Amino acid sequence: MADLSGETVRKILIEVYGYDIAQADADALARRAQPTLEAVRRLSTLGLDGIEQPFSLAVLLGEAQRIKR
Amino acid sequence: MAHSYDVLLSFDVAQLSEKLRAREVSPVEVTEAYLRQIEKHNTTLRSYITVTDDLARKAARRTETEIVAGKWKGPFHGVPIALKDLLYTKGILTTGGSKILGDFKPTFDATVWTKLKRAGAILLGKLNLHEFAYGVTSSNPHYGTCRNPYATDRIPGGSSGGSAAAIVAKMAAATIGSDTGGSIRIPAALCGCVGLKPTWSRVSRYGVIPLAATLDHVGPITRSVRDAALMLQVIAGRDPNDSTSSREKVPAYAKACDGGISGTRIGVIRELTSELSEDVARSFDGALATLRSLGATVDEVSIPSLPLAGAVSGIITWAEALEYHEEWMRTRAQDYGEDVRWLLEIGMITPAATYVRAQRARARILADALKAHDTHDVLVAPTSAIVAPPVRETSMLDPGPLFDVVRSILRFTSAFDVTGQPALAIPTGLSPGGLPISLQIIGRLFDEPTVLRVAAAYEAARGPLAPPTL
Repeated sequence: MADLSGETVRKILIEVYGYDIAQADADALARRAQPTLEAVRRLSTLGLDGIEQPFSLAVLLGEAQRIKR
Repeated sequence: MAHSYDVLLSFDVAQLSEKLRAREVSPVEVTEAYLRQIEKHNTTLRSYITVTDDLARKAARRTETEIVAGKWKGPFHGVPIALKDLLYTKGILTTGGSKILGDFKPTFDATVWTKLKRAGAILLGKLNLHEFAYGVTSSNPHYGTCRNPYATDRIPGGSSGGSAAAIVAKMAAATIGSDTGGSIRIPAALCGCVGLKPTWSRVSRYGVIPLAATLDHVGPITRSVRDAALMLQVIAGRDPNDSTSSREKVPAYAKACDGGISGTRIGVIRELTSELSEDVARSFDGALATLRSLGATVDEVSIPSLPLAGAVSGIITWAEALEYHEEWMRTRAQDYGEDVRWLLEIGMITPAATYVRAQRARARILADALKAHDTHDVLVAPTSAIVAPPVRETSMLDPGPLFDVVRSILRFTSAFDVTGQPALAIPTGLSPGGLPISLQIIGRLFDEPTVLRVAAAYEAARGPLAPPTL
């Protein structure tokens, strides 16, 4: 995975959320997030092919019925 | 007969309940004893954010009348408890440990509190926590640094730090915590009490401020295993207000505490036995020897995908927490503590695809855990690799010792929020420095009875833990 840069982080925060932070903080965020994001990429080594997303029709229906009340 | 405060505070829920039922003890005198203890120690320990003393006294008088009239409701009737300040309490301040909800009074109760109230429990107040349950120190920038009763210069763990500290300092007979990455078990471990994270969906989350909805659990923090069983009995079960709550039958948890463990197959999770402090390793080995002496078979077992559970937990929590907090992050970011704001900012850069992948990976990790359960009734590991670290004024996000500490603590607990399995933390003793050490017992989904049975047998063999000097 390409290194996540502070510049990229800051740009996402501003353009997606309208949320600005100091460049030094953006750099720190990038450094700290990088290892976990890389680890999640490694999740594909677990053999996730064919594993469905956890989704429950019972919960979907239950919520719909609850908020309809 | 009037009892001294010390005697009244010495009873766990199981003992207190019997005395209340037999009218040897009055709910009014017990409540007064707890309120006095809170007044005495809360300035130092900062366990409570709100003490509901007037309401508690009123409830105590009412329950006394009920019990005298022979209308005993069960083991929590007249028992003073407290709730993590993440649970909605109608008309009572519910801050989530935050400035943002600093004057929030809900218009309804969390289902867990509704059930406890119906069971006759008396609410002493709302307990301090890591802001919005998003951290493991309980060093709260808005309501004070919660401290460990065994050493007030050390953290109680978190996020349910106030809940565990209150139990150990006898400022409540039982408390409720929540657990997304370890927030029931970590403070229970560092403070020296019992913390039970039930199976995901076993206990309603209705009226509980979310951290990460698909990982959030609510459960008891107590002095004994039996108390945890008694409290789970009250709060477990289907809730129409929480569509994710399970319809699985609720078994008799306290009864499960009575069986022995001869022949029980216990698996030591290989991936969670490295990088332990010397004290923790020694205590863990001692606990395994005790379990063997009780007739259990104890051997090693592997959950190969477990080392990736931390990343799965991290990504899911970052994304789901941001979804709840996004609007406040846009409008009130300065009102968050530095560490929580920082974690929410990370949520802003978490790619959607990684979130979905992390959710799918949960099935793989659970599959590996279930495979381990094919040959083992329960799995065990330390709850934490270390004893309670010192309170530091630096935030947990700074690179350095505390950041490493946080990661090393979460490594042992977050996997079982990812899999949703029940997991219980129980003290194994004190380190030579006088700090609690803990064993974690993990079960099959909805098999809290076996977890409780093993924990109760171990607890009886271990004997009492030396209390803190307050």
